[in-house]
Amino acid sequence: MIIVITGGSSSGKSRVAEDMMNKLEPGRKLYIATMQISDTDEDGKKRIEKHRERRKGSNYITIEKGKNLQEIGGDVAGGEQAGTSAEFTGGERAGAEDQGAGGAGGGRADGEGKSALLECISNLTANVMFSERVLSSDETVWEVISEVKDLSAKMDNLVIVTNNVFDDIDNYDDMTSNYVKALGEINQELVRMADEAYEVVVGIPVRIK
Amino acid sequence: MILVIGGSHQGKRDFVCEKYNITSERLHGSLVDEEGTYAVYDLQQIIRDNLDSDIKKIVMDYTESHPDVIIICNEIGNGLVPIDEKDRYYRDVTGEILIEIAKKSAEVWRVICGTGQKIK
Repeated sequence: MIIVITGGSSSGKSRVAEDMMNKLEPGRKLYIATMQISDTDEDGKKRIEKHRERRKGSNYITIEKGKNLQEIGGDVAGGEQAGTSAEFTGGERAGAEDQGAGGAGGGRADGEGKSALLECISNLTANVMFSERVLSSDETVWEVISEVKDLSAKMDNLVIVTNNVFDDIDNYDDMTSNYVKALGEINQELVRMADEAYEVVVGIPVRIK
Repeated sequence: MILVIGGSHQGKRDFVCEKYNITSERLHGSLVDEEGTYAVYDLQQIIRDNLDSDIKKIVMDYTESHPDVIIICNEIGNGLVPIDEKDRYYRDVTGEILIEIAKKSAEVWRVICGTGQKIK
């Protein structure tokens, strides 16, 4: 099952995505955070803290991964993979250690599916596009879609959060225009891949597919 | 309470007047005390004008004491993240307030091109 959640800033889309993920998989699952912030970004830190607080107790294992999602394993113990950093966001630390797998990611209980919440595509797209060299819009679309397809192949359930940035005054510089174009095309492709898609408006999921 | 949202210049006020059978005299651009069916429009502007106060509390207290109000507000979150910190806060707090109002509303309408879509 692939579900795509879109919406504007502070529209409540993370909350809706978490609720849908929890319904699909009440047990342990990955939370893949693509947001990369600098040490001085107080805004970003606050946002991350708010989201972490809300995920507490919902059995999420957080993986911070700005790009190269193909390096994430399909197992919910994927946090132990090279190049990723994982931590528990729930009060599950003791429970995970009880399962005897050890390590940051812990083990996978019997009967738990492979599920991940990927948040969010707008950050992933920026991280891919503005890397060592600036990628073109087409290259960015190709790379992001490849990474998400690779991840979705490893998962039974994938909830993808993206962003609606498209109702804005259009006076961007070329670089920003390329980014918006890439994100728009990526969103279209993701919804083509998805079983369900929703736009979140003032906290209400409006089904668009 | 009823919430009506949508982009700017989409006919939200006309929609409200027609839908709830009120005249434009029942539309107000501030948090007024009024009986019966009436609407407060441009909530986003009221928020913007009061960013230095605890505007979230002010608005939520108002909706608490005026449960029959129709709130009309522009959607302002569907663009790129603004560079200016105050603009970012303005967008975020408006989004948070609208989510809270939507929760408490019996109906939520989204107006586009003068047409209302009922989303709650």
